[in-house]
Amino acid sequence: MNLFRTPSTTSLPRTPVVDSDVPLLDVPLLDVKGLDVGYGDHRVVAEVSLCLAAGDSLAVIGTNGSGKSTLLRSIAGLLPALGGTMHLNGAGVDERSATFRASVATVFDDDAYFPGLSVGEHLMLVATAHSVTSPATAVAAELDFFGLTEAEGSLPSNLSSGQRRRMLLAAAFIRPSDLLVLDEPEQRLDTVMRSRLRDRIRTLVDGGNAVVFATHDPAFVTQCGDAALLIGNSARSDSARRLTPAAGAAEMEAL
Amino acid sequence: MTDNTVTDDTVTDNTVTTAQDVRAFTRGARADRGSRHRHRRRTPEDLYIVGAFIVLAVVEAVGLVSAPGHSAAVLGGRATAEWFLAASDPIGAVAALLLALFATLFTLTQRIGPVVMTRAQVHWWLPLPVDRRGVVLPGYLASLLVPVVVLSVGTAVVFTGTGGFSAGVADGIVKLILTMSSVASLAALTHSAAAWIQVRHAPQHRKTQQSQQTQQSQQTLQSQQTQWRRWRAFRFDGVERFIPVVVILLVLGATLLNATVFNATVIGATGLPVPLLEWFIWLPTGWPLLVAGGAVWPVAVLVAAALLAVGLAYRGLPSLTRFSLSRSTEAGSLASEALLSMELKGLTIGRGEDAAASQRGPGSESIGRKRTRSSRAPATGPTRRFIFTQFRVWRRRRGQAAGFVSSAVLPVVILAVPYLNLGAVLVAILVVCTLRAVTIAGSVARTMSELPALGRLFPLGEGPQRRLLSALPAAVLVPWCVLCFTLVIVVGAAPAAWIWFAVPVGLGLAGAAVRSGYRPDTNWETPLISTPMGAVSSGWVMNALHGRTATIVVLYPALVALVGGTMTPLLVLLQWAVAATAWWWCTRVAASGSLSISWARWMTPG
Repeated sequence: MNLFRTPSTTSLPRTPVVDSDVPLLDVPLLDVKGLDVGYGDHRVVAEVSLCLAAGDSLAVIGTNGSGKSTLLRSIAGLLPALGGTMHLNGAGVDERSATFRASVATVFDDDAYFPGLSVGEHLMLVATAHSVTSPATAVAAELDFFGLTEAEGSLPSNLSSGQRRRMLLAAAFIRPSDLLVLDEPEQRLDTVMRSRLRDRIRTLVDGGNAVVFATHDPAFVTQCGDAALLIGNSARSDSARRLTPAAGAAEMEAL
Repeated sequence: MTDNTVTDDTVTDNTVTTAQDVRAFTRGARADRGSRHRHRRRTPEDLYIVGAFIVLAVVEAVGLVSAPGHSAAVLGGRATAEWFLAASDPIGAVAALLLALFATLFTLTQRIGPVVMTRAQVHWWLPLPVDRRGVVLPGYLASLLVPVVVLSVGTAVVFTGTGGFSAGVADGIVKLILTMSSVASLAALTHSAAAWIQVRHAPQHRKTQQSQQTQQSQQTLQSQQTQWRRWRAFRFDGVERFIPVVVILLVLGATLLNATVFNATVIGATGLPVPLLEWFIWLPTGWPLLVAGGAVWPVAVLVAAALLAVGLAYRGLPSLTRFSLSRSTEAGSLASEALLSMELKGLTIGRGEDAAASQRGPGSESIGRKRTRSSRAPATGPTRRFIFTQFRVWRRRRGQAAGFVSSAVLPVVILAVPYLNLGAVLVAILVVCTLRAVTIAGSVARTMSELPALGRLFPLGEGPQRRLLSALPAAVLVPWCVLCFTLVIVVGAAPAAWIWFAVPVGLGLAGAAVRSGYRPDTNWETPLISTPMGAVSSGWVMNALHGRTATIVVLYPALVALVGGTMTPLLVLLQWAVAATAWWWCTRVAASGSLSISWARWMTPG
């Protein structure tokens, strides 16, 4: 698979680590060219180019503050890009489009909830709005998977931060999607839950979903990622490096 | 997991969820949970804000009714203030226009949008594949209704309280409806214009990507993004600095011109400042708010324009991005907190890009080296550095200067408003503006209080630090007092000798600024005080008063001299004594910095 596209603009030449024998699909699921992301006039990550098809997963790695979350937010359409292009299923990334929102599920570090809605009701809201078949059954299944069955009727304010994180993940997994964007999904999860989450992401990818996730856990990179993108602490055009999952995990250990 | 891909077999295509369903589900689930969460829909702050506007309207009405000296000269045979006052109802254009300005500016600054959603709505509703207009609508209507309802109710109160029904009930009802329509339309028109600007200048993802598909150059794309960022900065600047500064400069300029060139002082003069009122003749004469028995067509035009503006804004709601709404929500909450706490730095933080940019920078290259003391450092290094740092931090807080200077000028501006040029109003405005200036001057002390680790960076004891923290407030509040007092003297509201109070007041206020910055955390476990608009935590009240009482005490001798009109040396001496005592009291380190429950219970009636 060819997850990365050679940058079209001037940048330092780097030897592609990921094999490029597999031809690109006619219309890739996610096509990013020369993406510049940042805040205001400040570029955080420059000239990222990548291409994901259905069934591809990409681990974004780097040190704190390197711009992983910023990159993911731009890909999810939540942060306007400073430059470059992004297309999902051939259409420009626009989170105002209902089609885009139906295709992309996200989990970021957004700790906001309806104070009067229980855990089960939050999940039911997402399931029904995405027209999931048998939403009650789906909610029960996700609650069971994420260990929240006993907390179904609890308000989010009464949960621990780890349980609220599980609820956010359940809300992303309960709904259908083509692309799943996860920002450090392992945050605040215990070891057992992390292991189950890795299996879940791998199963999802094998089932044909595309997944982009940022992580600080090498196990997530090796088990869930088909490739890794190392973001450097610089806005230079060559600051993003493409790696294999194993090389990415090794880089993380070195960092 | 195949159930996570968008395929026909996993999605029920016979039931399409709409935005209305989403809202109904959320509302219904919340209602089923019981009444214990319903009160969260209306926060006490909202009720107090509405109440404050109504009180403001009533106060202005009282000022209108009791305003002395309604005579004014006729300039060159043109219609002047005398004509205006004779032809208009006493309900007052000034009250309505000020209310409209206040409500609209407040809505803009509170909402920074003005279309806004709660954080929960942003994170749970916006990602759903339903019509965006449907989920944005409640926030839009709520922010629209606040100025419309507040202005309408305020106008009705003013109308009734100032004899609006004296000419007959039927006539009064018709006039009341016309007046309320005018005011409500004005509010809706202004709000919708702001909403349209928010919609129009949201980041245009779709347009950007489509332009790329048509091979538009990268430079054009970046130009669009830069324009958006510039406009956003301008919008914040407009709300935060531009509008208040322009209004203040215009009114101040006209007032000073009137006082110096036309030799017409504001307080104690026989006539109103005529040049300030002349512009009223350019308003539509048929507007029933201004002229009794005038034509109705301006109201019809205003209502039609308001409806058109509301429709345009409503039509553009789906164009709002989640990014834009998230930023509005964050900035709105910051701005709201800033307004309620009188700390305008929240508006600057709401700009976002400054904070984000300042968070990232090159790392230090000297990590790991052994630290040594510089032999060139003077013996007073920590003290000088501590004071220098205060000034640097204060200088970097953009937006504070405008608020600080405007609070010095505002008393004179209020004096320039017809019917508000009363001694009691001047005293009240002086107190409010001083409180605001003291809060701004004490912002560095507030930061030091919130982040005790900052203080530990300096090799200075807590007592010396507390005293040194008054250096910055003293350096800025003494000139502030000189400016404010001088302006009041120039317009004739105080004798020239009042300037002797400026320096001691400024020095005393420096101590009050430190004390207001070091207010302790609110103790929410204190008993509640029952008020007509809901329960208020006595701990919150105590917290709000911390340091502000000292400000009023310091001002007291100067205000006594102003009201009494006597500037004796004894009063000046008393002012110095009060200032010195207040400075000592406010900059000492108290044994206990927390509010005790017993104090709060003592304050609570019953």
